[in-house]
Amino acid sequence: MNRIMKVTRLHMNKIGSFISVPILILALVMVISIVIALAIQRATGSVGSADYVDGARQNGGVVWSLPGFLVYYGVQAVATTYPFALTLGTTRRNFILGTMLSNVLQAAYISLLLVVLLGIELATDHWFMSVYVLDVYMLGSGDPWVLAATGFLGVLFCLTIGGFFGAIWVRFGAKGPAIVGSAIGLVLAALLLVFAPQLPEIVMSITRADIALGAIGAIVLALIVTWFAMRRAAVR
Amino acid sequence: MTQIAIETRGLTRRYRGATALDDVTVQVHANTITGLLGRNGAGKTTLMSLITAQDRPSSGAVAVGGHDPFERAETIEQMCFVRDNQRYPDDYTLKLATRAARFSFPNWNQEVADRLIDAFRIPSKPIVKKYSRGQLSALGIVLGLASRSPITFFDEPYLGLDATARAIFYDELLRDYAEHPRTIVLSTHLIDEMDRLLERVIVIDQGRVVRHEDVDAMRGSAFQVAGKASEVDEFLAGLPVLSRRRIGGLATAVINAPMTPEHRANAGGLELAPVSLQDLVAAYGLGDTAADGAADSHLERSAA
Repeated sequence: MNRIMKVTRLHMNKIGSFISVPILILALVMVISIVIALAIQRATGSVGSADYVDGARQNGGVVWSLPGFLVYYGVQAVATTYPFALTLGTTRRNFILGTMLSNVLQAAYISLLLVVLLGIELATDHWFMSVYVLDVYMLGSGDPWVLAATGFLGVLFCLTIGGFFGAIWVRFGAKGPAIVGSAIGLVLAALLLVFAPQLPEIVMSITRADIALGAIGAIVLALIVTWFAMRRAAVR
Repeated sequence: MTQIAIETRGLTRRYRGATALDDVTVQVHANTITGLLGRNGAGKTTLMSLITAQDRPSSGAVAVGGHDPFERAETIEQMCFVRDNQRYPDDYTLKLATRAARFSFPNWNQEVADRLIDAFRIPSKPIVKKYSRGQLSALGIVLGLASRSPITFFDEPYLGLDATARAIFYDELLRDYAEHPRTIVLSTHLIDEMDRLLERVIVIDQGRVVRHEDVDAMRGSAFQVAGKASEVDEFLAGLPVLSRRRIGGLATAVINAPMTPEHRANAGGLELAPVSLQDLVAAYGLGDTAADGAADSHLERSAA
């Protein structure tokens, strides 16, 4: 087996987490969304009206429920798998490349899952009860291509950022992520301060493509830092 | 001609000013079992980490099979180094750990793994993080032995193991080594127990190599004298004394020289005996000396 693929397989060794946890999270979001939608329907009695659909499409449950797991998955993929991978005879370079490939596969799997669920959602006229989980504004309002691209980049972003902090931890110890996290927070706060007067216009002018480009830029930057951090990281 | 599996030259590792390994130059012979002996913090794990490229030296060089192992996949995959405090991915169970080892180590032998898992009675249900110290050591032994890696390191593999489990390890190691000779490096404090396994030793103290040679040659390079303190003192005059212990009117000493007929002739009523590896290492001030601190015991060590 190719040495990089061995690392990817190592990440997928716990195939249960890889496959079933995203499904469980999505199922939970589905249940919560159904309960909330039914509560709104009972309270307002306005199922199917333009106002109801507009409100239902604001549902960001999927967008906010997955990142926690994905960032954790990214952190542990580097922080706890790295020492074991080196014990099993891999190089740092192969570990980084195998981890990237694993992240891409995870992102592709989850985005495929989202598209399949969107298909079911549309085919069943929103789960037979006007429940909007994936046909929402943030995920492209029912456009499968937008959902696939958003899901793929979003998942890859979370996994890569998790891996980035994992690499900082492996390289610099416990203080590393705290210092880097604080530094990033400080930079973002400073940018907010500088652009505060123009903030409403900036936010209004941001397009979906801008967000995608920003995510790609952040992913590339995180990968570069991860690469340099891991190249000299010792096992502790 | 002796084949050299591992060679280090002036290997040094510093951590924020503290020197963990200081100018270490050693050769590990291929297809031998080499003991890495030394006290806690002597630098044993650091040396193994540097050889397996899990860490980078501050200065000096490592060659494994003639190549620097750092980022050289062909060399690294020939080695297996399970640390005494080995970390495993979250929620890993025995099954996941052995499955990962099976597809990672080119020479993995599942039969050996299964036999050892049975012998050590390693539980399959709990996650590895919940294992006891002994169970963690047993898992490390399973991975190390079943990997059949051409160069295998065991980092204090006996920690937490009971006497029966340790005996199983020694027997299995000798059995598998006899059938599949390979280079094995074993770091240990239990020198007396592992004495029969070792062919060569590297004695390390405070990051420096103190002795590095064949076990038999090392044993033959020193002897022990015991008897009345006054007679022992008289006998030791002019001899290179490694250590001297006095208990009441009796004394024992380890002399850093091969025993000769002349020594026997001068011994009178004193008892001369070969020194065990444990005692010899202890004489360097490096091993576990159980009697240290005894109320009426007085121990001196020479700089020799």
